[in-house]
Amino acid sequence: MEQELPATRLPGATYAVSDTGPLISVFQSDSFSLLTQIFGEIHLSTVCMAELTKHGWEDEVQANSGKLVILKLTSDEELLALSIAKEIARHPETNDPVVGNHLGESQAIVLALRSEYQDDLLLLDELAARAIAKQKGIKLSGFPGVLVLAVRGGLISANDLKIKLEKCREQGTHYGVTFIQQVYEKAKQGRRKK
Amino acid sequence: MKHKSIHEPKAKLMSAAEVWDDSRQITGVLQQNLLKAEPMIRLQIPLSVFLSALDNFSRDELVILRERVEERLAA
Repeated sequence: MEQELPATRLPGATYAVSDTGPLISVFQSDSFSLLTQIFGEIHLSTVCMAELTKHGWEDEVQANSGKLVILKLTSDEELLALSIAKEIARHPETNDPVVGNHLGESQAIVLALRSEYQDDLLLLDELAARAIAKQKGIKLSGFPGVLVLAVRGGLISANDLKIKLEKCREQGTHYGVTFIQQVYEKAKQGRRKK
Repeated sequence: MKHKSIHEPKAKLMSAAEVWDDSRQITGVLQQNLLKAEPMIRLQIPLSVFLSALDNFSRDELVILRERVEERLAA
């Protein structure tokens, strides 16, 4: 299932490197086509792909394989990812000290550090990993940020955003009721300003 | 039907305020990349340099330029 990185990209296209969590939210809320209206392609590491398979999302990955590119890290990059996973496991914002549970985020961070992604975006929801990615100068967003952008750009309504986040919450993603309401209100205000 | 689950269900996630910052970050990246796709020419240069630069314009760029020049001449 691993693919070669395409030699060229369309002029002006932005790619997203994604961690496992945001992609699961995308699938839970039927948002993959929305995601590809914003990003030319979505790239993910083999560890993230293994996590998606483990959690039962392999069919969704297969169905969208035209725009999903799975990349294997080099051995040097794998070592770097391991060291970043240790940093995440020790971070005060994490509640999971098991290093192996942070390999998906850390591999996504290492992919995003590649020079070819310097003008692209990392999709990452988890607080500790986000803090470490920001320290490394990576530009990032969580899945809810993508939805807010879609509302601001007129691709979906604020109500669509709320429905999508609620779908994720109903399926177990940790977006709280208050959080969803706050994001919805902000998206509504942002839309009105346009 | 295949059982579907989520990854790290107890992980702490970003706040609503950060979500807003995220969307602004994406906007900035998308705009920068779109700008880079635009053909660029420099202004405030001697006319002779501009005229010789036309030799390097593609056909599409020359057509855009001709339309603009014709609009200006017709005004």
